[in-house]
Amino acid sequence: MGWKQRAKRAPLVVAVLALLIIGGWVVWQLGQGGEQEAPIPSPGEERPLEQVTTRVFSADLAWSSPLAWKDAEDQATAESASLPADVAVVGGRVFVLDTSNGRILELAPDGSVARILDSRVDERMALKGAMAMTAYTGKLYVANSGAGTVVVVDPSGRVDQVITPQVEAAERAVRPVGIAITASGQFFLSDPDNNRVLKLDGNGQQIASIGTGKRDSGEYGLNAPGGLTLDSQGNLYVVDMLNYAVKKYSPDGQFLLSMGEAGDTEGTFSRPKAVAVDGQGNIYVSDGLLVAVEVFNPDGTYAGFIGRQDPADKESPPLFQAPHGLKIVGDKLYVIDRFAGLFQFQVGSAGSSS
Amino acid sequence: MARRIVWVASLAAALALALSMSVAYGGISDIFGSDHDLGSPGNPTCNQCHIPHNAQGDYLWARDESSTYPELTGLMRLCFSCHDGFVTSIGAWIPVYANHPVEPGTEGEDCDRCHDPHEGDAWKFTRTIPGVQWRNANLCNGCHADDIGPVYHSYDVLATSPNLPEDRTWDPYAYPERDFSGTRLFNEAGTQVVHSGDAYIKCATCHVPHGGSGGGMNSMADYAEVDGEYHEPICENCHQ
Repeated sequence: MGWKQRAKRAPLVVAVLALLIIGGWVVWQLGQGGEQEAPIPSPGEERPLEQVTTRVFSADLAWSSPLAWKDAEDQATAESASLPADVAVVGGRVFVLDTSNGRILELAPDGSVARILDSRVDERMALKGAMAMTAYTGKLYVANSGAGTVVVVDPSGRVDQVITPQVEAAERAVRPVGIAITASGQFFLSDPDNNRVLKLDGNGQQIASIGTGKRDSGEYGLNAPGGLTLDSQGNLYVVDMLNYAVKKYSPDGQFLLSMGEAGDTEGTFSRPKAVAVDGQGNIYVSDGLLVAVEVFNPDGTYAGFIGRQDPADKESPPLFQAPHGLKIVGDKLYVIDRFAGLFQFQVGSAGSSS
Repeated sequence: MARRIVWVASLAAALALALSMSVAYGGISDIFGSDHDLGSPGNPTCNQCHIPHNAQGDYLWARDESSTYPELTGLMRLCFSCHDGFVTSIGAWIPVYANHPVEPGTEGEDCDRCHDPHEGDAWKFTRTIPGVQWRNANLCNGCHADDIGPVYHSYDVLATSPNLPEDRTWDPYAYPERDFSGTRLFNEAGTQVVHSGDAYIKCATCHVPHGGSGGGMNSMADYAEVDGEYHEPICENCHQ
């Protein structure tokens, strides 16, 4: 082909290239423009929930408490719980871990704050960003996350002891955010900064651990483990938060079961936090991004969720804002919400998890 | 010759287009190796916030928009899902204390007004805004340049006073009084707090976008009366 013929085709080639470039730019701009113009839904704009879940687990809301402190005239004051993370029940008495205020609140039967347990009662309280609390032998065991210790508190507010875990050195300091205690007094602590769950004796000496120490997956690999609980057989349940799973281990540490996967549809997890097990072996998991408590059957299959204002209407507004700590005592499920306070539900038959 | 010029010009245009697109998306790979590199085998880092299949939120974020609680609208819900003291202890106090104003739910004016979770090389994941000179611990000046006149304290200068203190306690969990005091000095780039050697004053030396209770989001009050004496805590933090 001579140069004259090629020269004649040059404008066509230029035109085609220009069209491709301009067309690509337009498509890209449309994509950018679409993302820039579409606002994030504002409060009150609901969207269909059927893509999130389709089954509602049967749970009757008994009462809820926004955890507002009331003064002598029974008037609500500005004092209230600040980002409470957990709840524990000792002898029928309900205690809330008021995390950002570094204290524990005892609630009266009507949900009002009856008593405050803080460093003014016992200066050894010194709670710092404490994220978990459980009851054992009539006392409260607090995972004092910011200090890396376990603080044992009598319901009167007196500190019995402060346990410092003696564990294998890891990349970061121990930051316990989950706690569970066996019938024989051994502790399980979740340590998300080191991607492990520690098993300690009553003095805090390490006995065993689960996790490889780095972000890992699989039966014994963890990625930021969070909430812990034990069932009536002594099986341990671990919320493997950034692996979007809840894993079950036998009392001697053998992997038994994993449930859940990443997602925002039914039976999946978006940001799982805490776990509890009822007397029938059903597993309850709070999820901060799904804004619900999901329930799984003992075999790990999905059973339904709790968390809409009208249990009969899955499209009704959510009950929760940021559901977190869970406890089951008898047939009562307690859910502590970081912003909305404490909720108590009636669920299933008698049983408890710590 | 003309054809060669046309080809070169077309390639140059295509390259310019590609580069401009990469600038728009630049910085995303900085997340790898950063504190937000949270993936594990089977759960890639991107998956920790984005769900590539069947996601419901914008940018494939994993979240339920049905919550109507004011504190948890927009980006705060996603950020808080980890920065709640549980998954990480960093920033857990942010939802309940005085914070820099944002417009929850408005892109670019929410938490992303100042932060980009992909910017692993920046100070506290502050945004790199194209064309904005002030970055990292001086990010404030990117928007507040007109508010800062020549009469204000010098910044971006080497701190030389022999009486400058170490970075003091920063304890948002202190009860009943939270402690957001303490000065912070930085490396020259403003990407790290330094405690010795060459240390620079930056905006964030005195200003606290999260928790600052003094005027102008200072870490401490402008003035206070102690035992009948007049003091300027924010100044005396350094000038002792």
